[in-house]
Amino acid sequence: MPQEMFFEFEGVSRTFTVRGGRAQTFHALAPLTCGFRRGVSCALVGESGSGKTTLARLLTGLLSPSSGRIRIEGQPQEQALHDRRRPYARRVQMVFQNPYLSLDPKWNIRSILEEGLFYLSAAERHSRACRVLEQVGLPAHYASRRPSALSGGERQRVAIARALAVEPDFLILDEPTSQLDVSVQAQILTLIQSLKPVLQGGILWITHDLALAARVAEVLLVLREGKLVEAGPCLEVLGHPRETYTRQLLASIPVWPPRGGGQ
Amino acid sequence: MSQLIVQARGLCLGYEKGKVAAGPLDLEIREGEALGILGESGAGKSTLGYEILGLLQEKGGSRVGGDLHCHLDPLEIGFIPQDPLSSLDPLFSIGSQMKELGADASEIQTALRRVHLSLDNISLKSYPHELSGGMRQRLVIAMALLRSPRLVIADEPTSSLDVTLQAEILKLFREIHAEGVAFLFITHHVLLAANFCDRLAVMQAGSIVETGTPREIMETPRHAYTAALVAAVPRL
Repeated sequence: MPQEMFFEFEGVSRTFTVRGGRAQTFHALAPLTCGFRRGVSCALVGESGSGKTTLARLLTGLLSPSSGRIRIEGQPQEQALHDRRRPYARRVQMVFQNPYLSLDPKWNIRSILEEGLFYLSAAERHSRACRVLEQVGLPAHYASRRPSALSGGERQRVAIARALAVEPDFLILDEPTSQLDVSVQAQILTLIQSLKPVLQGGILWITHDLALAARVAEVLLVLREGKLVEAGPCLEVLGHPRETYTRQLLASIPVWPPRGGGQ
Repeated sequence: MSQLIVQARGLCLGYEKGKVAAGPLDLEIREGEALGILGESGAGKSTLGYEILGLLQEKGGSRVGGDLHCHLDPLEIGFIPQDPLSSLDPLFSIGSQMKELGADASEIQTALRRVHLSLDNISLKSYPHELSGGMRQRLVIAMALLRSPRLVIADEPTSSLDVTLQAEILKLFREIHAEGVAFLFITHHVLLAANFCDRLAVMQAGSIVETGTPREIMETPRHAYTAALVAAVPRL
Protein backbone atom coordinates (compact mmCIF):
# COMPACT_ATOMS: atom_id res chain seq x y z
CA MET A 1 0.00 0.00 0.00
CA PRO A 2 1.76 3.16 -1.09
CA GLN A 3 1.84 6.11 1.27
CA GLU A 4 -0.72 8.77 0.49
CA MET A 5 1.79 11.50 1.25
CA PHE A 6 4.88 11.46 -0.94
CA PHE A 7 6.76 14.06 1.10
CA GLU A 8 6.02 15.07 4.66
CA PHE A 9 7.62 17.98 6.49
CA GLU A 10 7.57 18.09 10.29
CA GLY A 11 8.74 21.45 11.60
CA VAL A 12 11.42 21.70 8.92
CA SER A 13 13.47 24.89 9.02
CA ARG A 14 16.68 26.04 7.43
CA THR A 15 19.01 28.81 8.50
CA PHE A 16 22.15 30.16 6.88
CA THR A 17 25.03 32.00 8.51
CA VAL A 18 25.71 35.29 6.80
CA ARG A 19 29.24 36.55 7.26
CA GLY A 20 30.37 40.14 7.04
CA GLY A 21 31.26 42.12 10.15
CA ARG A 22 29.34 40.09 12.69
CA ALA A 23 28.13 36.62 11.80
CA GLN A 24 24.34 36.69 11.50
CA THR A 25 21.80 33.94 11.17
CA PHE A 26 19.41 34.19 8.25
CA HIS A 27 16.18 32.23 8.51
CA ALA A 28 15.59 31.09 4.94
CA LEU A 29 12.75 28.79 5.93
CA ALA A 30 10.77 29.06 9.17
CA PRO A 31 9.64 25.78 10.78
CA LEU A 32 7.26 24.28 8.25
CA THR A 33 4.87 21.38 8.61
CA CYS A 34 3.15 20.24 5.44
CA GLY A 35 2.69 17.31 3.12
CA PHE A 36 2.93 16.73 -0.61
CA ARG A 37 0.25 14.29 -1.66
CA ARG A 38 1.23 11.58 -4.12
CA GLY A 39 0.58 12.35 -7.77
CA VAL A 40 -0.48 15.96 -7.25
CA SER A 41 1.07 18.83 -9.14
CA CYS A 42 1.83 21.61 -6.79
CA ALA A 43 3.01 25.17 -7.43
CA LEU A 44 5.21 27.07 -5.01
CA VAL A 45 4.98 30.81 -5.51
CA GLY A 46 6.70 33.72 -3.81
CA GLU A 47 9.16 36.47 -4.58
CA SER A 48 12.96 36.42 -4.64
CA GLY A 49 14.29 35.52 -1.22
CA SER A 50 11.05 33.92 -0.02
CA GLY A 51 12.69 30.51 0.38
CA LYS A 52 11.34 28.74 -2.71
CA THR A 53 14.67 27.38 -3.88
CA THR A 54 15.71 26.47 -0.31
CA LEU A 55 12.57 24.33 -0.03
CA ALA A 56 13.35 22.65 -3.36
CA ARG A 57 16.94 21.95 -2.37
CA LEU A 58 15.72 20.39 0.89
CA LEU A 59 13.45 18.09 -1.12
CA THR A 60 16.32 16.99 -3.37
CA GLY A 61 18.57 16.35 -0.38
CA LEU A 62 21.15 18.83 -1.70
CA LEU A 63 20.55 20.74 1.53
CA SER A 64 19.78 19.29 4.94
CA PRO A 65 17.28 20.87 7.34
CA SER A 66 18.55 22.86 10.33
CA SER A 67 15.76 21.36 12.39
CA GLY A 68 12.79 19.09 11.86
CA ARG A 69 12.33 15.98 9.77
CA ILE A 70 11.53 15.25 6.15
CA ARG A 71 9.93 11.95 5.23
CA ILE A 72 9.73 10.54 1.73
CA GLU A 73 7.05 7.89 1.30
CA GLY A 74 7.09 7.46 5.05
CA GLN A 75 10.85 6.87 5.18
CA PRO A 76 13.08 9.40 6.97
CA GLN A 77 15.01 11.39 4.35
CA GLU A 78 18.45 10.86 5.94
CA GLN A 79 17.86 7.11 5.69
CA ALA A 80 16.49 7.37 2.13
CA LEU A 81 19.58 9.32 1.03
CA HIS A 82 21.75 6.32 1.92
CA ASP A 83 19.38 3.65 0.69
CA ARG A 84 21.46 1.63 -1.76
CA ARG A 85 18.51 -0.31 -3.10
CA ARG A 86 16.58 2.81 -4.07
CA PRO A 87 19.05 5.61 -4.85
CA TYR A 88 17.56 8.96 -3.90
CA ALA A 89 18.43 10.57 -7.23
CA ARG A 90 16.22 8.04 -8.94
CA ARG A 91 13.28 9.03 -6.78
CA VAL A 92 13.55 12.83 -6.89
CA GLN A 93 14.87 14.87 -9.81
CA MET A 94 15.12 18.57 -10.44
CA VAL A 95 15.15 20.78 -13.56
CA PHE A 96 17.01 24.03 -13.01
CA GLN A 97 16.05 27.52 -14.00
CA ASN A 98 18.67 28.41 -16.56
CA PRO A 99 19.14 25.94 -19.44
CA TYR A 100 22.14 27.98 -20.59
CA LEU A 101 24.00 27.16 -17.36
CA SER A 102 22.70 23.75 -16.34
CA LEU A 103 24.14 21.78 -19.29
CA ASP A 104 27.88 21.14 -19.59
CA PRO A 105 28.97 22.90 -22.82
CA LYS A 106 31.75 20.38 -23.49
CA TRP A 107 29.49 17.33 -23.49
CA ASN A 108 27.22 16.19 -26.27
CA ILE A 109 23.55 15.61 -25.53
CA ARG A 110 23.95 11.85 -25.46
CA SER A 111 26.63 11.99 -22.72
CA ILE A 112 24.53 14.49 -20.76
CA LEU A 113 21.54 12.17 -20.85
CA GLU A 114 23.54 9.02 -20.08
CA GLU A 115 25.62 10.41 -17.21
CA GLY A 116 23.18 9.37 -14.50
CA LEU A 117 22.52 5.96 -16.04
CA PHE A 118 25.76 4.28 -14.91
CA TYR A 119 23.71 1.45 -13.40
CA LEU A 120 22.57 0.30 -16.85
CA SER A 121 24.46 -1.53 -19.59
CA ALA A 122 25.77 0.52 -22.52
CA ALA A 123 23.00 -0.74 -24.80
CA GLU A 124 20.30 0.08 -22.24
CA ARG A 125 21.78 3.53 -21.65
CA HIS A 126 21.65 4.23 -25.34
CA SER A 127 18.06 3.10 -25.77
CA ARG A 128 16.99 5.05 -22.66
CA ALA A 129 18.64 8.22 -24.00
CA CYS A 130 16.85 7.80 -27.33
CA ARG A 131 13.56 7.21 -25.56
CA VAL A 132 13.70 10.34 -23.37
CA LEU A 133 14.73 12.47 -26.34
CA GLU A 134 11.62 11.26 -28.11
CA GLN A 135 9.55 11.84 -24.97
CA VAL A 136 10.51 15.53 -24.90
CA GLY A 137 9.93 15.87 -28.64
CA LEU A 138 13.51 16.21 -29.88
CA PRO A 139 14.81 14.30 -32.95
CA ALA A 140 17.21 11.41 -32.26
CA HIS A 141 20.08 12.99 -34.23
CA TYR A 142 20.31 15.73 -31.57
CA ALA A 143 22.14 13.17 -29.41
CA SER A 144 25.43 13.96 -31.11
CA ARG A 145 25.06 17.74 -30.80
CA ARG A 146 26.43 19.96 -28.09
CA PRO A 147 24.23 22.35 -26.07
CA SER A 148 25.60 25.36 -27.97
CA ALA A 149 23.93 24.10 -31.16
CA LEU A 150 20.50 24.16 -29.48
CA SER A 151 18.04 26.98 -28.81
CA GLY A 152 16.97 27.89 -25.27
CA GLY A 153 13.75 25.91 -25.51
CA GLU A 154 15.56 22.86 -26.90
CA ARG A 155 18.12 23.07 -24.10
CA GLN A 156 15.39 23.14 -21.49
CA ARG A 157 13.89 20.05 -23.17
CA VAL A 158 17.28 18.33 -22.82
CA ALA A 159 17.38 19.31 -19.13
CA ILE A 160 13.92 17.79 -18.67
CA ALA A 161 14.97 14.67 -20.60
CA ARG A 162 18.01 14.31 -18.34
CA ALA A 163 15.79 14.44 -15.27
CA LEU A 164 13.40 11.88 -16.78
CA ALA A 165 16.17 9.48 -17.86
CA VAL A 166 16.51 7.95 -14.37
CA GLU A 167 12.71 7.44 -14.24
CA PRO A 168 12.10 9.51 -11.11
CA ASP A 169 8.87 9.49 -9.10
CA PHE A 170 8.92 13.18 -8.24
CA LEU A 171 10.02 16.09 -10.41
CA ILE A 172 10.91 19.57 -9.19
CA LEU A 173 10.99 22.39 -11.73
CA ASP A 174 12.68 25.60 -10.58
CA GLU A 175 11.30 28.42 -12.77
CA PRO A 176 11.61 26.14 -15.81
CA THR A 177 10.38 28.70 -18.32
CA SER A 178 11.47 32.07 -16.94
CA GLN A 179 14.36 32.27 -19.41
CA LEU A 180 12.22 31.30 -22.37
CA ASP A 181 9.96 33.12 -24.80
CA VAL A 182 6.20 32.87 -24.28
CA SER A 183 5.53 30.60 -27.25
CA VAL A 184 8.36 28.26 -26.16
CA GLN A 185 7.02 28.46 -22.60
CA ALA A 186 3.63 27.24 -23.82
CA GLN A 187 5.29 24.24 -25.52
CA ILE A 188 7.29 23.32 -22.41
CA LEU A 189 4.17 23.59 -20.21
CA THR A 190 2.26 21.25 -22.51
CA LEU A 191 5.21 18.85 -22.49
CA ILE A 192 5.46 18.72 -18.70
CA GLN A 193 1.72 18.30 -18.29
CA SER A 194 1.83 15.35 -20.68
CA LEU A 195 4.44 13.73 -18.40
CA LYS A 196 2.16 13.69 -15.38
CA PRO A 197 1.21 9.99 -15.73
CA VAL A 198 4.88 8.87 -15.50
CA LEU A 199 5.59 11.02 -12.43
CA GLN A 200 3.79 8.93 -9.83
CA GLY A 201 5.12 10.93 -6.90
CA GLY A 202 4.06 14.33 -8.16
CA ILE A 203 5.41 17.55 -9.64
CA LEU A 204 6.51 20.70 -7.83
CA TRP A 205 6.60 23.90 -9.86
CA ILE A 206 8.55 26.81 -8.46
CA THR A 207 7.52 30.09 -10.02
CA HIS A 208 6.75 33.69 -9.25
CA ASP A 209 4.20 33.79 -12.04
CA LEU A 210 0.75 33.20 -10.54
CA ALA A 211 -0.87 33.01 -13.98
CA LEU A 212 1.46 30.15 -14.86
CA ALA A 213 0.73 28.45 -11.53
CA ALA A 214 -3.00 28.72 -12.23
CA ARG A 215 -2.50 26.96 -15.54
CA VAL A 216 -0.46 24.01 -14.36
CA ALA A 217 -1.04 23.27 -10.68
CA GLU A 218 -3.76 21.68 -8.60
CA VAL A 219 -2.37 22.88 -5.28
CA LEU A 220 -0.83 26.27 -4.58
CA LEU A 221 1.61 27.14 -1.80
CA VAL A 222 2.47 30.80 -1.19
CA LEU A 223 5.74 31.53 0.58
CA ARG A 224 6.76 34.87 2.01
CA GLU A 225 10.01 35.52 3.84
CA GLY A 226 10.44 31.83 4.59
CA LYS A 227 6.91 31.34 5.92
CA LEU A 228 4.07 29.48 4.30
CA VAL A 229 1.35 32.14 4.26
CA GLU A 230 -1.28 30.32 2.27
CA ALA A 231 -1.89 26.83 0.87
CA GLY A 232 -4.80 25.09 -0.74
CA PRO A 233 -6.41 24.04 -4.00
CA CYS A 234 -5.09 26.37 -6.68
CA LEU A 235 -8.38 27.74 -7.97
CA GLU A 236 -9.69 28.26 -4.45
CA VAL A 237 -6.62 30.23 -3.35
CA LEU A 238 -6.63 32.36 -6.49
CA GLY A 239 -10.38 32.85 -6.41
CA HIS A 240 -10.64 33.68 -2.71
CA PRO A 241 -7.21 34.61 -1.38
CA ARG A 242 -7.31 34.86 2.39
CA GLU A 243 -3.97 36.56 2.91
CA THR A 244 -3.23 40.17 2.09
CA TYR A 245 0.06 39.12 0.56
CA THR A 246 -1.60 36.70 -1.86
CA ARG A 247 -4.05 39.43 -2.87
CA GLN A 248 -1.13 41.80 -3.40
CA LEU A 249 0.62 39.24 -5.62
CA LEU A 250 -2.58 38.74 -7.61
CA ALA A 251 -3.15 42.47 -8.01
CA SER A 252 0.40 42.88 -9.35
CA ILE A 253 -0.21 40.69 -12.38
CA PRO A 254 -1.14 42.63 -15.49
CA VAL A 255 -4.41 41.36 -16.95
CA TRP A 256 -6.42 41.93 -20.09
CA PRO A 257 -8.75 43.78 -20.18
CA PRO A 258 -7.00 46.13 -17.73
CA ARG A 259 -8.38 46.56 -14.22
CA GLY A 260 -10.54 49.58 -13.61
CA GLY A 261 -11.47 49.85 -17.28
CA GLY A 262 -8.35 51.80 -18.29
CA GLN A 263 -7.18 52.20 -21.89
CA MET B 1 -2.40 65.13 -34.26
CA SER B 2 0.69 65.61 -32.18
CA GLN B 3 4.09 66.05 -33.70
CA LEU B 4 6.20 63.16 -34.97
CA ILE B 5 9.41 62.69 -33.00
CA VAL B 6 10.74 59.50 -34.57
CA GLN B 7 10.00 58.31 -38.07
CA ALA B 8 11.52 55.27 -39.78
CA ARG B 9 10.95 54.42 -43.44
CA GLY B 10 12.17 51.10 -44.80
CA LEU B 11 14.81 51.02 -42.09
CA CYS B 12 17.13 47.99 -42.36
CA LEU B 13 19.60 47.21 -39.61
CA GLY B 14 22.31 44.59 -39.60
CA TYR B 15 25.25 43.28 -37.66
CA GLU B 16 27.33 41.56 -40.30
CA LYS B 17 28.11 43.08 -43.65
CA GLY B 18 25.00 43.08 -45.81
CA LYS B 19 23.10 40.77 -43.49
CA VAL B 20 19.83 42.22 -42.25
CA ALA B 21 18.94 41.63 -38.58
CA ALA B 22 15.87 43.83 -38.64
CA GLY B 23 13.90 45.42 -41.39
CA PRO B 24 12.59 46.87 -43.54
CA LEU B 25 10.81 48.70 -40.72
CA ASP B 26 8.22 51.47 -40.93
CA LEU B 27 7.63 53.11 -37.61
CA GLU B 28 6.38 56.36 -36.12
CA ILE B 29 6.48 57.67 -32.60
CA ARG B 30 4.50 60.82 -31.79
CA GLU B 31 5.11 63.32 -29.03
CA GLY B 32 3.86 61.94 -25.71
CA GLU B 33 2.91 58.53 -27.11
CA ALA B 34 3.80 55.19 -25.53
CA LEU B 35 4.64 52.72 -28.29
CA GLY B 36 5.21 49.11 -27.28
CA ILE B 37 7.49 46.85 -29.32
CA LEU B 38 6.48 43.26 -28.70
CA GLY B 39 8.30 40.18 -29.81
CA GLU B 40 10.36 37.18 -28.80
CA SER B 41 14.13 36.74 -28.58
CA GLY B 42 15.92 37.54 -31.80
CA ALA B 43 13.03 39.52 -33.29
CA GLY B 44 15.23 42.63 -33.53
CA LYS B 45 13.50 44.69 -30.82
CA SER B 46 16.65 45.81 -29.03
CA THR B 47 18.48 46.43 -32.32
CA LEU B 48 15.78 48.95 -33.21
CA GLY B 49 16.11 50.59 -29.79
CA TYR B 50 19.87 50.91 -30.16
CA GLU B 51 19.55 52.51 -33.58
CA ILE B 52 17.14 55.19 -32.30
CA LEU B 53 19.55 55.84 -29.43
CA GLY B 54 22.41 56.10 -31.93
CA LEU B 55 24.25 53.25 -30.23
CA LEU B 56 23.96 50.57 -32.90
CA GLN B 57 27.49 51.12 -34.24
CA GLU B 58 28.79 50.91 -30.70
CA LYS B 59 27.12 47.49 -30.50
CA GLY B 60 28.82 46.30 -33.70
CA GLY B 61 25.90 46.88 -36.04
CA SER B 62 25.01 49.37 -38.70
CA ARG B 63 22.18 50.77 -40.79
CA VAL B 64 22.00 48.81 -44.03
CA GLY B 65 19.24 50.78 -45.72
CA GLY B 66 16.27 53.09 -45.33
CA ASP B 67 15.87 56.29 -43.34
CA LEU B 68 15.47 57.18 -39.74
CA HIS B 69 14.43 60.71 -38.83
CA CYS B 70 14.72 61.47 -35.18
CA HIS B 71 13.49 64.99 -34.42
CA LEU B 72 15.06 64.97 -30.98
CA ASP B 73 18.40 66.01 -29.63
CA PRO B 74 20.28 62.88 -28.43
CA LEU B 75 20.13 64.34 -24.91
CA GLU B 76 16.34 64.35 -25.09
CA ILE B 77 16.27 60.55 -25.18
CA GLY B 78 16.53 58.59 -21.95
CA PHE B 79 17.46 54.92 -21.85
CA ILE B 80 16.42 52.30 -19.31
CA PRO B 81 18.26 49.02 -19.84
CA GLN B 82 17.14 45.56 -18.81
CA ASP B 83 19.47 44.70 -16.00
CA PRO B 84 20.06 47.52 -13.51
CA LEU B 85 23.04 45.78 -11.91
CA SER B 86 25.10 45.52 -15.07
CA SER B 87 24.13 48.98 -16.29
CA LEU B 88 25.56 50.74 -13.24
CA ASP B 89 29.30 50.89 -12.65
CA PRO B 90 30.07 48.82 -9.55
CA LEU B 91 33.19 50.86 -8.75
CA PHE B 92 31.54 54.27 -8.47
CA SER B 93 29.04 55.54 -5.92
CA ILE B 94 25.58 56.26 -7.27
CA GLY B 95 26.02 59.98 -6.54
CA SER B 96 29.12 60.22 -8.71
CA GLN B 97 27.41 58.29 -11.50
CA MET B 98 24.52 60.76 -11.44
CA LYS B 99 26.88 63.77 -11.39
CA GLU B 100 28.70 62.29 -14.36
CA LEU B 101 25.53 62.91 -16.35
CA GLY B 102 25.99 66.63 -15.73
CA ALA B 103 23.35 67.05 -13.06
CA ASP B 104 23.63 69.30 -10.03
CA ALA B 105 22.42 68.46 -6.54
CA SER B 106 18.92 69.91 -6.95
CA GLU B 107 18.36 68.14 -10.29
CA ILE B 108 19.44 64.86 -8.69
CA GLN B 109 16.96 65.41 -5.86
CA THR B 110 14.13 66.19 -8.25
CA ALA B 111 14.85 63.10 -10.33
CA LEU B 112 15.01 60.89 -7.24
CA ARG B 113 11.72 62.32 -5.99
CA ARG B 114 10.06 61.49 -9.32
CA VAL B 115 10.88 57.82 -8.82
CA HIS B 116 9.83 57.93 -5.15
CA LEU B 117 13.34 57.67 -3.78
CA SER B 118 14.43 60.33 -1.34
CA LEU B 119 17.75 61.08 0.29
CA ASP B 120 16.24 59.74 3.53
CA ASN B 121 16.13 56.16 2.28
CA ILE B 122 19.04 56.26 -0.14
CA SER B 123 22.54 57.62 0.29
CA LEU B 124 24.33 59.05 -2.71
CA LYS B 125 27.51 57.58 -1.26
CA SER B 126 26.22 54.03 -1.56
CA TYR B 127 27.31 51.65 -4.30
CA PRO B 128 24.97 49.84 -6.73
CA HIS B 129 25.33 46.45 -5.00
CA GLU B 130 24.10 47.95 -1.72
CA LEU B 131 20.66 48.68 -3.17
CA SER B 132 17.82 46.22 -3.66
CA GLY B 133 16.80 45.23 -7.20
CA GLY B 134 13.74 47.49 -7.19
CA MET B 135 15.72 50.48 -5.86
CA ARG B 136 18.42 49.96 -8.48
CA GLN B 137 15.87 49.92 -11.27
CA ARG B 138 14.23 53.08 -9.90
CA LEU B 139 17.66 54.69 -9.71
CA VAL B 140 18.33 53.83 -13.36
CA ILE B 141 14.95 55.37 -14.23
CA ALA B 142 15.88 58.49 -12.26
CA MET B 143 19.11 58.69 -14.27
CA ALA B 144 17.15 58.36 -17.52
CA LEU B 145 14.93 61.25 -16.37
CA LEU B 146 17.79 63.56 -15.33
CA ARG B 147 17.97 65.40 -18.64
CA SER B 148 14.17 65.82 -18.87
CA PRO B 149 13.85 63.52 -21.88
CA ARG B 150 10.97 63.77 -24.36
CA LEU B 151 11.38 60.10 -25.24
CA VAL B 152 12.33 57.23 -22.94
CA ILE B 153 13.48 53.96 -24.48
CA ALA B 154 12.93 51.13 -22.00
CA ASP B 155 14.39 47.76 -23.02
CA GLU B 156 12.78 44.99 -20.95
CA PRO B 157 12.82 47.25 -17.88
CA THR B 158 11.12 44.80 -15.53
CA SER B 159 12.14 41.35 -16.70
CA SER B 160 14.65 40.91 -13.87
CA LEU B 161 12.17 42.02 -11.20
CA ASP B 162 9.49 40.32 -9.09
CA VAL B 163 5.82 40.83 -9.93
CA THR B 164 5.15 43.33 -7.15
CA LEU B 165 8.18 45.42 -8.15
CA GLN B 166 7.10 45.13 -11.76
CA ALA B 167 3.71 46.60 -10.83
CA GLU B 168 5.48 49.40 -8.95
CA ILE B 169 7.69 50.27 -11.93
CA LEU B 170 4.70 50.20 -14.28
CA LYS B 171 2.87 52.65 -12.00
CA LEU B 172 5.93 54.90 -12.11
CA PHE B 173 6.00 54.72 -15.93
CA ARG B 174 2.33 55.73 -16.02
CA GLU B 175 3.10 58.81 -13.93
CA ILE B 176 6.01 59.79 -16.17
CA HIS B 177 3.94 59.13 -19.29
CA ALA B 178 1.13 61.32 -17.87
CA GLU B 179 3.62 64.19 -17.75
CA GLY B 180 3.84 63.98 -21.54
CA VAL B 181 6.98 61.87 -21.98
CA ALA B 182 6.90 59.51 -24.98
CA PHE B 183 7.94 55.88 -24.48
CA LEU B 184 9.38 53.17 -26.65
CA PHE B 185 8.62 50.18 -24.48
CA ILE B 186 10.50 47.09 -25.68
CA THR B 187 9.33 43.86 -24.11
CA HIS B 188 8.32 40.26 -24.64
CA HIS B 189 5.69 40.61 -21.90
CA VAL B 190 2.45 40.94 -23.85
CA LEU B 191 0.14 41.80 -20.94
CA LEU B 192 2.51 44.36 -19.47
CA ALA B 193 2.80 46.21 -22.78
CA ALA B 194 -0.95 45.98 -23.41
CA ASN B 195 -1.61 47.56 -20.02
CA PHE B 196 0.78 50.46 -20.46
CA CYS B 197 1.10 51.40 -24.11
CA ASP B 198 -1.09 53.52 -26.39
CA ARG B 199 -0.07 51.51 -29.44
CA LEU B 200 1.68 48.19 -29.96
CA ALA B 201 3.91 46.97 -32.78
CA VAL B 202 4.50 43.23 -32.98
CA MET B 203 7.88 42.13 -34.35
CA GLN B 204 8.75 38.73 -35.71
CA ALA B 205 12.11 37.78 -37.21
CA GLY B 206 13.09 41.39 -37.85
CA SER B 207 9.83 42.69 -39.28
CA ILE B 208 6.86 44.48 -37.81
CA VAL B 209 3.99 42.15 -38.62
CA GLU B 210 1.19 44.15 -37.06
CA THR B 211 0.55 47.51 -35.42
CA GLY B 212 -2.54 48.50 -33.50
CA THR B 213 -4.05 49.63 -30.25
CA PRO B 214 -3.73 47.20 -27.33
CA ARG B 215 -7.40 46.35 -27.77
CA GLU B 216 -6.94 45.48 -31.46
CA ILE B 217 -3.85 43.38 -30.77
CA MET B 218 -5.31 41.54 -27.79
CA GLU B 219 -8.84 41.01 -29.04
CA THR B 220 -8.79 41.03 -32.84
CA PRO B 221 -5.25 40.20 -33.97
CA ARG B 222 -4.99 40.17 -37.77
CA HIS B 223 -1.65 38.42 -38.21
CA ALA B 224 -1.28 34.72 -37.39
CA TYR B 225 1.88 35.33 -35.36
CA THR B 226 0.19 37.97 -33.20
CA ALA B 227 -2.70 35.60 -32.56
CA ALA B 228 -0.30 32.80 -31.56
CA LEU B 229 1.68 35.14 -29.30
CA VAL B 230 -1.43 36.41 -27.53
CA ALA B 231 -2.78 32.87 -27.16
CA ALA B 232 0.49 31.63 -25.63
CA VAL B 233 0.29 34.03 -22.69
CA PRO B 234 -0.81 32.31 -19.50
CA ARG B 235 -3.64 34.25 -17.86
CA LEU B 236 -5.45 34.10 -14.59
